Parts: sequence; C-alpha cells; structure tokens
Amino acid sequence: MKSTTTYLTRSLSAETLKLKNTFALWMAILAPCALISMFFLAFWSKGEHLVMKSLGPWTSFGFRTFALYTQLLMPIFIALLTSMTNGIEHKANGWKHLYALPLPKSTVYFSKAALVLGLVACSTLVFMLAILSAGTVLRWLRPDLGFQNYEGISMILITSVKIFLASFVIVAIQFWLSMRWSSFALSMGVAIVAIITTVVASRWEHIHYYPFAYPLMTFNGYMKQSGQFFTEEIWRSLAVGTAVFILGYMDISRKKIL
Amino acid sequence: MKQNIIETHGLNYHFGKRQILQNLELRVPRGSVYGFLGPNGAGKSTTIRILLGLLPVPEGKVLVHGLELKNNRLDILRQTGALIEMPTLYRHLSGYDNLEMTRRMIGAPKKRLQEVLEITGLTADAGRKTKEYSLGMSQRLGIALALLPDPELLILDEPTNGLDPSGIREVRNLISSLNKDFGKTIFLSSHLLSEIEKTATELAIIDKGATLYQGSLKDLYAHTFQPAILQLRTSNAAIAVQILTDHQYQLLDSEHDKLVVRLAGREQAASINRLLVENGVDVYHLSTETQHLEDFFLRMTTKEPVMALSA
Repeated sequence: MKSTTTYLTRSLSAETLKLKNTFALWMAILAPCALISMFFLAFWSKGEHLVMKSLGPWTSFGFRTFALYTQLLMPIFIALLTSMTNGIEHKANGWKHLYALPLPKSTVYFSKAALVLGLVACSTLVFMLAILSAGTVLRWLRPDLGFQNYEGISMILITSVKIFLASFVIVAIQFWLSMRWSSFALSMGVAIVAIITTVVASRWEHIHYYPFAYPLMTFNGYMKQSGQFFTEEIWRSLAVGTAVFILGYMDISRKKIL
Repeated sequence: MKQNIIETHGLNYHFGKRQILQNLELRVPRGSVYGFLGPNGAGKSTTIRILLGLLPVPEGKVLVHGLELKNNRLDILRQTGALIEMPTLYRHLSGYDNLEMTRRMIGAPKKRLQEVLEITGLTADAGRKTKEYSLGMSQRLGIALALLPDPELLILDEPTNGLDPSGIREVRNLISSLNKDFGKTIFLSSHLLSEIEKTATELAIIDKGATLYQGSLKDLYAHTFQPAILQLRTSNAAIAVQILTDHQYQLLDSEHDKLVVRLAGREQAASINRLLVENGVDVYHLSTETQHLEDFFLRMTTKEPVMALSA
C-alpha cells in the first residue's frame, strides 16, 4: 500500500507541471508587481501628497496598497486564480482521466487545493518583496519623502502574511466553486458581489461573520497598528476555510463523473 | 488465475428514472480483443465509466481482474489503462509533458515514457505542443497515456471516433499489435461494426442497456452468415422457374430473367447451376448473397427479425 504522502507528492508534482506555460502562474507573480508598480509611480511623481505626516512614508505606502488590495483586487485575484487553475482541467475535460487514475479522490482534490494556496502564498511573497524594492528605490529617487527611515516595515510584512491567512477562507470557497462548475462567470460574479457587499456592510456589527470581509478586517487592524498576529478574523478564516475545504471535498467526491 | 478479466453480474444502472443498464452480463476473456458494440445511447459509455469506478455501483456486481470493484478501486485501476472518448490532453503542454504528468501521478518509471512513445509511434512528435496534433495523433497519445502503467487491461471507448480512414487504420493496427505483441486484453467499444469486425476476437452487442449477443466473432459468423440467397440470370426464366420448383427449391422472387432462390448451403448453388445447364437453360449470372454483419447488427438493434438466423 502506498502512503497518502506518496500520493500527494506525486500528484502535486504533476499539478505543478500542469501550470507550465499557463497564465495562472504568471498572474500570481505579475499581479502584485503591477499593483506595487502603480503606487510606486504615484509616489514617485506625487509622493508629497500621498505621504501622510502622521503615518510616515512606509506606513503610508502600505496603507494605500493594502486599501486597494484587500477591498478590490484580492477577491478578483483569487477568483481568477482558482478558476484558471481548475479551468485547465475543465478545458481538457480532464476529470474523468484524473479520477480513473489509481489515486485516491482526496489526493486529486487536496493536491489541487495545495497548489492554489501555494500560488496565493507565492504572490504574497512577491507582494512583500515588491513593496520592499519599491520603497528602497523611492528612497533614492525621492529622498525628500523619507523612505530612508525603515520604520513601519515589519508591520507591513506581518500584515501581508495576515492578509494571506485572512483570505484562506475565500480561497476555499472559490476553489470549491471553480471545481464544481466550469463557469468562469460564476467565480467572477461571486467575487464582484463579495466586493460590493464588503464595502456596503463594512460598518455592520456582525461583519466578522462574513468571510469575504476578513482581509478588510486585517486592513483595519493595520490602520490601528495593533501588533497582535492571531486576531479574530485570522483564526476565523483558518477555521471556516478548513471546514469549507473539507465540505467541498465531500461534495466533489460524491459527484458522478460523466 | 481467473479466466475472465471483466465480469458483470446482473448490472443495473439508472440516472433518475431512466434505466440505462438492464441486467448486463459481460464476460471478457483474458487475452482477447473484446468488441463492445451498440448504437449510440445503448449504455456503452455508462458501462465503461462504471468499470473505471467513475460511477457508483452496488457491491458484487462488477469484477475486474477478479477483484470486486467497489472495495478494490485503486488496485483495479493500477492494472488498467483507459481512454474514454476524446483523450484528456493539456493542449498548452507538449506530448512529452502530457505523458510525464500522468507518469508522475502513477509513479511509473521514467524509461516507460520512451517505450510508450515508441509503441504509439509518437517519438518524433513528443516535443510538439499537443494543440498542434492531428486527431489521429491525439488519439494515439491518449492510448500512450493509457499504456503508461503497463496495464494488463486496456479499456478504449470509441478510439476511432472522428478519425479519417488513415487515422482509423493507424489506431486499428496499434490495437491489434497491443493484443498480439504485448499480450494486452483490450475492451473496445464502438458503434461501428466494421471497426469491431476487423480487430475483435470476442464480441458483445448491446442495446438499451441489455446484452443481445455475446460470444466469439467466429461463432457469430459460423452460425449466422452462411450464404443464404442465390441470384440467377438465365436464358429462359420460365423454364428455370419450372425446373427449380420441380426440385423443391424455394423460390423467393422472379422478375424478368432474374431469379432469387433460398439456399440451405453453399453446395446447393453448384447443384442448381448443374441442374439448369443439364436441362438446356444457359446461366449468365450466379451470385450468392451473404447477409452482412452490418445488416445483422442493424436488424438486431432495431428488433427486426434476423433473416439469416431462420434459414
């Protein structure tokens, strides 16, 4: 009998190969770069209006990027990423082939889940590196903005990781949707509804029950500059996300493959 | 060692209220090329999906490699290669990468890649992206994928569907060679009888989810396809009719100089000819008509009486 780890390693290495030449891989790297480049250009040309005196240059840069990222870009980014990676399988009509291989069905599901989470983690890493580089280059281009003082940088890095963890539940939901249905419009529709509802309901007292709002809650925490790592939305996201991944698997494994 | 590589016992399957398979009994002998024949919608694809564990079935109904399907799915799949309709190809990857991906999943040795490429004649095109492949090449790559684990059993669902004549021949030759040279048992579904006829040693004909015929192709020929009808053109039809009816031959039709006579065996054709010539009637044309397997198949699946069987 082969162990579960053997199956998972094999499957994961095959899934990684599947990403070769696809846009999904590039998007995980390019999306954060594009976002940071945009703010880099803004700070370069109009930095004097964008740096808030009370926050300092790094925290101001973090504030601008996180605000856009958590409220608008992240839901779309995750929807694109999950529907693109699972779309490879839908497009190739590959489910029947995968499930007729001598692999447990759970392996197929969880190796794909791990891959998507890996991509989001990878793009978080790129995001952190891009912020660091952008600030460092701004330090030379615009010495007047004060980027030479690296105060606030650790908070930015911690918040990036926290946002990744807060989005865990969103990845779980979108992953299940994109695996269950091949429709790209469904994933995008859910993402857009999530964006609008989060913005509208952001001041609602029960917002912490709404999974799509967790990255925004992390952002609010950043604004308060609270040093706590495992805040409420983080463990909620991890707990609910894990549950969604498991329920998603139970649903997918029962599906008849036609 | 069990003799049958696949057995189904009273297999029933339905989607909602629609009955797809009814008491399906299949016995696929080890080492055969087993033609699984039926018109579109007969339940062929459903059967194949069941054999591969893609659709749930109750315990005890399906045995593959002598193992009960429900509890031995992975062990069965480990010794089984499958191509279901169009092969699953990731078009953005090369043929080689497509194979490599499945190889990684099943943990086959790396040298197996070259072997299957050679068997399917794709070595030269392995580096090309599969979106550039012709249908025939795609189909052969699909078979290469199925061959990766070096399985004892290959399940191929309509492997020649949509191919041009040369593509069909390529795939057909490949199937024959896999059976003869590599000893694979091949379960081959098709709605085209002409396809099955050329490669299969055993045959099942199903329609509406039930088995209509199952056995060797030779037996089917031997019992069913004796020359049954003789057509004649003679110099004098009236006299010929008289002679033949006098000798107890069953005349089916006569029209101008053309006669149609039912035969009980090949040798009767010679006797009729001799009889007519000896009685001064010239015979211009003499031909026996065998009922084609295709007609037989059509009649069988449309529930018309099968003429040759009653002869």
